[in-house]
Amino acid sequence: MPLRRARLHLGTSRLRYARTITVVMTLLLSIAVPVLLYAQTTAELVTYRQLRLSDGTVEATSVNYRFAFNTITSASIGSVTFEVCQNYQYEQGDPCTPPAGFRGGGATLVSSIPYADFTYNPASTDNRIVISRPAASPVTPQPLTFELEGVTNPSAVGSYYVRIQTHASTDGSGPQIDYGIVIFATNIGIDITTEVPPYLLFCTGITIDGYNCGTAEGSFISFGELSSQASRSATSQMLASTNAPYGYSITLAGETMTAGNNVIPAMTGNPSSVGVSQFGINSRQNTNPSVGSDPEGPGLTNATSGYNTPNSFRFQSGDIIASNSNTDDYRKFTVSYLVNVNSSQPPGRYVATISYICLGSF
Amino acid sequence: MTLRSIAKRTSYLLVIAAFALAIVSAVRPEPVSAYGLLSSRSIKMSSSANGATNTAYAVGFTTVTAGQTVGSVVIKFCANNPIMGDACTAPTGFNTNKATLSLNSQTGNITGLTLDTVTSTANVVVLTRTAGAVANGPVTFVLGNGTNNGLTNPTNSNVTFYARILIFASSTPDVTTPSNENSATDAGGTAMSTANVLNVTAKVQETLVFCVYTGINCASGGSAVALGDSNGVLSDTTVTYTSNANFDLASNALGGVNVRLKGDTLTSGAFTIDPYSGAACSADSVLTSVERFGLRVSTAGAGQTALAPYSCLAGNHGFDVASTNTTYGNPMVTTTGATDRSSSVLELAAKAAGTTEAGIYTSTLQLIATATY
Repeated sequence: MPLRRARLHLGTSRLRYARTITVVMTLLLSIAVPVLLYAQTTAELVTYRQLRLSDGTVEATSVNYRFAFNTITSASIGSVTFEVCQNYQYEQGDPCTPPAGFRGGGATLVSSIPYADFTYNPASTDNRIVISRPAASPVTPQPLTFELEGVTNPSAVGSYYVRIQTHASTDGSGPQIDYGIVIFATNIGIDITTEVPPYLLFCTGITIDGYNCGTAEGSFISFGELSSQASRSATSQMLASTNAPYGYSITLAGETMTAGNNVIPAMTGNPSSVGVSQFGINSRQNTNPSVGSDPEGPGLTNATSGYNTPNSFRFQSGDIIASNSNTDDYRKFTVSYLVNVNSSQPPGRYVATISYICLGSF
Repeated sequence: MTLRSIAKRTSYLLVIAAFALAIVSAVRPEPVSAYGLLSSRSIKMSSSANGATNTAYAVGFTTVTAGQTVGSVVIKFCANNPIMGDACTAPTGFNTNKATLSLNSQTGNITGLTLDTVTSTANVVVLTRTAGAVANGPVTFVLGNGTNNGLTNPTNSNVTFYARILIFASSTPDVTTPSNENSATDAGGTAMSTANVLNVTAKVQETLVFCVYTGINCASGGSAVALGDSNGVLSDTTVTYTSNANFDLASNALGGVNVRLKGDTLTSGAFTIDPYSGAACSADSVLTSVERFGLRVSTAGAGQTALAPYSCLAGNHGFDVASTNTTYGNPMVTTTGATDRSSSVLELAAKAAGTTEAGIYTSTLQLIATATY
């Protein structure tokens, strides 16, 4: 009987002990719950919060999202979440509707200022990006900046909301410390189109005033009576310009001076020789004889080799006498013609018909 | 006369006397209240919130007894009723705060009242003056200034409480004996009530409206801009051709909104049209040797400010290609704070030179709005 009493007594004490524990736990719980609730409701709104996009067009890929905000609460932060929603969050816990087409999962955190130990957390989803650090560390109120790379914009034009939350946990879970919402807007870009029409300006004449083809005059050159005692020379002019991306070329076409079967030989890049039958042209200012001018105008095209040496003349049908591999502004060429004859050059009316063909390379 | 008859007569006399006394007692009128009933009496509270402190009570009434001598005005605050002569139960939590209570804005014929902080109690305010005759008329004064002194309202919400306004000839009235209230020359009751304070909450969500369009408005949309003559061709190398695009912007962002311009100049394959250069506006050219692409904010919406090199006068444009080609583009328009919805107009401009390579040139410009909340 004494043993049984002792056990009964022990049972009563356990019962009292359990009851005491229950009361204490209840008290603790009644204190802790309001504190926890208070902690949830006193999360602060981060200030100076913004989201800058590198591309605001719909469906743009590889977009950089740069978040910046100032924390308010001094606390240990282990993670930050960015939840992108189509709807606004009126109350904490409001469901988030992911924007169609938005993909933030798999983004890369390329910048984290000033705390470099944040990394992209694989627990992220397409519309809830989590960045975290190995362990929560204290963060005093200060500006934080995080830049994500490789985000795909929503597929529709509109405004979208990003819920920013800081957490003590290192995986974006648990209560928020600070929070805030930023908005970004997607649009379609402005597509500008215009056309630059192709043109090739080219004209010839004995004279051309300025760079105006409308003033080109004359197409006949007379050397007068040829002499074995003196050179005969004359000039004509050409004006060219083009926006052909690959420039233009002027080709010489025609034959040397002839009179029936009698020919004045074409020059091959020789100086003038009085008393020697020869016919040639160049596009430079010459002193022997004194004839011609160098090319002029804002353009850059020059005569080609063979026609670009002062006092050296050449005439070869099919030769390109001037060319440029780029677009070129106005360029006026003065073509000098030289003819000499020897004393045995058969008499006759020597003529030559010369064509200049300008070809643009578009 | 026998002793018995004497006793009988005596008893008759006693009965008659008793009846007479009863009749006299029944006929004799009770003493009636002597005070006149104050008219137009009111007490306006600066706050009806229960427990509100530093509450000002604006008292008003009109005296009715002509030429009465006024030595004091007493206001008793009671929870039970405003009936003169009845015991007064102080409202729960109510306090006149007599030590700090100020008396303000006295008007009317009862002049020179001062607060008697000795006689006053937690629910009785005694105002005294040098006794003297007063002509009838409206009287007003305010107890407390409503800022740093005043009365403390009853702490129960939505509860009625009463005030008895009493005018005595004496400057030292007895305010503790209920029956003495009947000796007032003028008196009257009024009622007040505390009430629940309506807590109104509203939320203003962050907003950002940003719409880029080439039509007549945002709803009409459009994103294509053709620069040039009627055929969209830069046909005249002396002419700068322009065309417009628009954007609407609205935000309640405290830190304002930056609209950034991002994109490249007009290109056609490997060929480009030189943009207006630098961080400042440049004048349009008529030289055939000059090619240009750029824009200006020809109309900035209300609250929006165009930034260089886009804040150009007519005939000038800009395009800071070194900045527009960066990751986040070049700031083009800004607001200093929240701005209502307004529209801005962008004037896009292009000119070909004689040497501008032939081709179809395109550019896609992005406008990116960044709000700071």
